[in-house]
Amino acid sequence: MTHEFKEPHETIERQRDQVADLRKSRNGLGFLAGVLGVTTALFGYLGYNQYVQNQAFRMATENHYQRAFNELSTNVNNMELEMSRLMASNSTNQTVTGLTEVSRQANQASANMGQLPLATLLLSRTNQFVNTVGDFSQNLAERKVDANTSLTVEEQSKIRDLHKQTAFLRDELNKMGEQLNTRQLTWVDLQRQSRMQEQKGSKQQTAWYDRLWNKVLATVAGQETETQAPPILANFQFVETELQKYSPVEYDGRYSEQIKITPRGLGSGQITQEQAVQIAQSWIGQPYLDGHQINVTGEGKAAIPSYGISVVAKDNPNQNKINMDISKTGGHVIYMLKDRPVGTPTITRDDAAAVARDYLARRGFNNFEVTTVEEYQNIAVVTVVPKEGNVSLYPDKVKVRVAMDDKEVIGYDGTAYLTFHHNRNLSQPAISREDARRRVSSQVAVTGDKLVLLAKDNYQEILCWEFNATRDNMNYLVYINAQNGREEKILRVETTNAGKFIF
Amino acid sequence: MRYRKGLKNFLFALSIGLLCWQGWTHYDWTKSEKTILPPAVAEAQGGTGHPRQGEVQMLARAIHGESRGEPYEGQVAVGAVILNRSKHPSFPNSVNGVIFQPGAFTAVDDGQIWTPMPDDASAVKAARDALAGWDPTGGCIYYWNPATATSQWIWSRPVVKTIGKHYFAK
Repeated sequence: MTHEFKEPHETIERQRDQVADLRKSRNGLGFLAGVLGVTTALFGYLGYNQYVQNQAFRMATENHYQRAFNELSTNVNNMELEMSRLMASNSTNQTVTGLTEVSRQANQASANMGQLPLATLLLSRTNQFVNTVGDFSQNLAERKVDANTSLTVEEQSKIRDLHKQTAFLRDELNKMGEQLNTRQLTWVDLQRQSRMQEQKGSKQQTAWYDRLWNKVLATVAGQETETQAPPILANFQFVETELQKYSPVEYDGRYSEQIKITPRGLGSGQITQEQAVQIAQSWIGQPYLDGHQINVTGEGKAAIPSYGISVVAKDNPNQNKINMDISKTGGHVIYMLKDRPVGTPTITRDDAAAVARDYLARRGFNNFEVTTVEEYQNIAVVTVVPKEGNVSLYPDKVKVRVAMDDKEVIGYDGTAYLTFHHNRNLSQPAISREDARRRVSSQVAVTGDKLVLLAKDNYQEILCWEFNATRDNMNYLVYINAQNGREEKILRVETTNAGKFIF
Repeated sequence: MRYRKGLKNFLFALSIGLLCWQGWTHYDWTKSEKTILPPAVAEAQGGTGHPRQGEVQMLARAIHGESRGEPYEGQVAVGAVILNRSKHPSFPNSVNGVIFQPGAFTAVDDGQIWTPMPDDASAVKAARDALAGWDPTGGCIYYWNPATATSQWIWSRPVVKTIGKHYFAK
């Protein structure tokens, strides 16, 4: 009892302290609650903002996909319709109109299909079918114009076969369209699902945390057990397998499967790696090779099997590296590329052309003619073509890349030369220069001519008279077939400060 | 006073955080330096189809986004693959069609192709060289980085060549 009376002020102080402490901690709690409240509200607001924005972007993407799909469906429906009309036509005009329209619709179908999120499905045959029908129809239309006839029996049967496939594709697309409509499927969701599936099927080469994250994502989205492709995408896969059962259309055009290019300019005899190094050494030249190391970097298994060679400075292996490919057959340089910064030009494009010609002559390429010199970033790319007699062989072109600061040749590409060049024994033109000249439009002024060999899309080569022509300050190259007088091609020539360009 | 200071610090941190967030979400990734290129690309007579400026620029961007840091030969190779695809029936038949095919290129899907690219970037040179005809891949239409490839299917393709970190295949 006495104790209480002994130090009353102490008790009061203690109580005061306790109250203050309580108040402090209550203040603290209140503050924390306030902060939490504000933060929640803020993040809620931000989250909502993000959600709204996300929805808008999602919608824009979805609308884009829906447009592409519906356009694709329309294009294929039109292709089918035009083909069915072709099957009943007996005139050149309806045949050509129909074929051109099929080609136009097919080109658009290809473009629209390319905008759908289907790349991961690798629908190579479906794409190939659409593109090939387009090219086949265009190609056939051109021939029908020349021949001025309707479709032959053989052509009719090809159209009939293509029509069958197109009708199948049309039906499948219509089914998918219905599914998209009634099942409320969105492309954006389908895309996400297919992406997850692709990752799940991938080799375990990703980091463990990535795999864990993918697993979490998959579990959250309830995709854990799904192994089949999502709807629509599965339908596209079905189309792909069905179309693979047909053999591709046989025709003489760009996408024809019958075109097999075997390199003709390689000669014979296999070389060893050591020989490849020697060939590279003599191509580059000994003076340059001092202080440099030359290595075989690997082998290429492309159309022209090759050894890869690299040349690097011993003291600086990352700078000014030269890469070359040497063909295993015949030991030819396929291409050479040297990567180095190029300073301000000290030579003109004409000088660069002379450098290129000299470079080739020293490596045994004679009787070459420069066609164009293109300039960019202080580099001139010179295109040269060999000649057989007085005929320029355009298919066999060679490119030489010249650094315009010190005339060093920093690139060579002989792929086309090695692929196409051979002794052709070209026949004399059946159409004389004057005859051909008369077939050029009277609206243009002809300023020059020469005989050239031109390659078409299907690599078929035609001997042509090439006429330089002008009209209204525009320059052209007009090609007249030297055997039958057909106007084969018209190209526009534009001269800019970066060189001569041909379109 | 102690709490006031705490509040001040907290609000400061919060605003910095907000700024960062808003900056991140509102940053215009499509904004980048303009690259000026000559109007077109020359091609020897007899060639078909000629890339225009928009194609050269996009090709350079795609190379930049996909193979920055690769050896020069590898950059030209990536450009060549894109061009080979545009001529192949199983792909869209234009350079932009190939580049923007959804899901075809990682750098396009994640927006890396829009990162600023200097005028003298090696990717611009590589694009021009690929257009001029250099093709270190010898006609390939696929490539992948074996360390990061997500598609299983791709491993079924026969590898034609290895350049830098990439495998190239037909």
